[in-house]
Amino acid sequence: MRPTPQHGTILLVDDDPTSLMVLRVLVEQAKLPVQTARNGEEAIDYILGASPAKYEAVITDYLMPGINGITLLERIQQIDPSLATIIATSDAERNTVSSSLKMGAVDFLEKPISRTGLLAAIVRATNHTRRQRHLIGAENRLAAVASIQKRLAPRLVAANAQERTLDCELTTRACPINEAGGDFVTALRSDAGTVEVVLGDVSGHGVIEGFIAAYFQGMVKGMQTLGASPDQIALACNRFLLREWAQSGPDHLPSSLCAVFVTLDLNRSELTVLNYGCPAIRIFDRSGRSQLLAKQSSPLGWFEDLAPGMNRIAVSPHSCCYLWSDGLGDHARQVGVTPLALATRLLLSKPEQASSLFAAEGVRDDVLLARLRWFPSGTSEEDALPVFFEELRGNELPSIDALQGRLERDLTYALSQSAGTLHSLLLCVREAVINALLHGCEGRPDKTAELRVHYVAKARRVDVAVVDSGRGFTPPPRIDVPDLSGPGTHISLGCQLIYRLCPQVRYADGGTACHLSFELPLS
Amino acid sequence: MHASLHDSSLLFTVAGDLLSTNVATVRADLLTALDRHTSATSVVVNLSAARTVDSQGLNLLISLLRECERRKLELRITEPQSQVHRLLSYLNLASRFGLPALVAS
Repeated sequence: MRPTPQHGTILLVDDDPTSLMVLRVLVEQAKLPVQTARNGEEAIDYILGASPAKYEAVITDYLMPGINGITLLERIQQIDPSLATIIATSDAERNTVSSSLKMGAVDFLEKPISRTGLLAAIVRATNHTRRQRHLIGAENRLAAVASIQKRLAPRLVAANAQERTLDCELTTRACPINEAGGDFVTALRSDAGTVEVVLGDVSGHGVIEGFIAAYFQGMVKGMQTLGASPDQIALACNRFLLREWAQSGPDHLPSSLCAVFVTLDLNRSELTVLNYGCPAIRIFDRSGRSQLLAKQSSPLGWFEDLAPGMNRIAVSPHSCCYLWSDGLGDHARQVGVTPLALATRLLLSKPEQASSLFAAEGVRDDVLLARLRWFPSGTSEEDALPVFFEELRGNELPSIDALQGRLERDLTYALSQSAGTLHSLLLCVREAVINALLHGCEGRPDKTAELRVHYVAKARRVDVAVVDSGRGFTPPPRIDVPDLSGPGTHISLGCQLIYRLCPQVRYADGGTACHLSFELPLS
Repeated sequence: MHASLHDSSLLFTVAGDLLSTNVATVRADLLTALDRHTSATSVVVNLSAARTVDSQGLNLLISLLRECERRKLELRITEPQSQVHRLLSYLNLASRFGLPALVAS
């Protein structure tokens, strides 16, 4: 056995001076650094007083006065769990072997100890210690990357003194599979009244991708601060990745970067989105109407030419947009809900709980979510989270059961409620949608009905709007008992059912909009 | 849906929800069974498997009630799930189907 220059010291512990001397000679003959201790207490003193990685293996006799071998092993596990310990036993002490292995001993040595047996045990022990320390080092480096990612996490600075039409708020949730992830988000608010949010997703989700993501996060943040435009930043990232692809060897698959750049102009009420391979951005206005900004280009790092994937739209106050990495959509499919329901559940969870929530569900990719909402300056209106949105054609009544199934799955998941708690809500929504399709849209495929569901967390209230593009209708008055002698048409009974089950019902716009509100019970 | 005659009582066991999308089928089955078992003097509908009854499902139950009245048969609903029982109570229909009202009208 040849010691490496960095070979750590072998600590030998035995109360028998002769045995200790023999062991010492054997280790020294192998040209390994060695330290001897005459009992367990002395061994502990040596370990506590040494630099952290000085010792690489402890070989201790089991039967010693004072602290025996097992107790010494316990103390070493408390002081330095990475330090491998081997216990030497005689035939009579065989029953201690299994217990010492359970306690974390790497191996045991049978007395009398042979030279070959000793050196083989030292190799096993030092290899074990090095593996453990390497693992701990990797975990520490990963934690450092995670710390950098958290430090770079977006914090929109407070609005400056300049008067603005709009103000905004950014909420993020990150659920990396490992401590650090390949997803990142960064945001910057400029003095000119714009807010730039960038969400990036480096391909893969290992430690390397965590480092690369932290690099890009810093690069994007730096370029934003220097006033670079989103397309300039995208070009720089693309060039960097293309160089990596050109220089990569056959054993390493280079990374690509999906990124979406959202610029909100608070003065002009305008939103610009540049999307390079991220899921399409969805915008919700105050009434719950949803718009998908679907134009996008390929991920960064694939091609020299970056085809423009720009979306620019005027936005109204009290709106919000969602950005998420593809891990969110994948996990939504895995648990059988829509991405919006998953996003709502994430937003309703505390940031520090988000990862554990998904870990329990077996998430397979990093998940990152950012929600940017904007509102007139100086207002503090309650934040209504969109939970569900669906548009139906007027002739889609046969698919009402499927819609109800999707709604039930999404609401129970997003709001962490049982289906029983939501029964009245689900039934009323069904009736309202049936009314909209049958009577508002008259069953015509050229007419549409929209179902929009919001959740106001502070009030524990679910707001539902069913809006159709039809001619509307005059809602019947509320009556105490359904008229059983009449024809019992669907519309009258459906409305009575809604009146009875929903605490707040409001028809608007000539009956084309039905607004329902339900309070959730305190959990 | 399953229909069987016990003594002089015709028992309907509903297999699932009573919804606008399945009431036509269930209604046809009900009427067929009523026509087949003319010796029955009462009808019992077991709703234990119905998690949801929507307005068309209610219309179906009401049409069955009318049909039973026409045939001079007593109609009862048994074992409704709590939310269905509550719904029938909200709509003042519980007592018509031989159920206690869960809430004041």
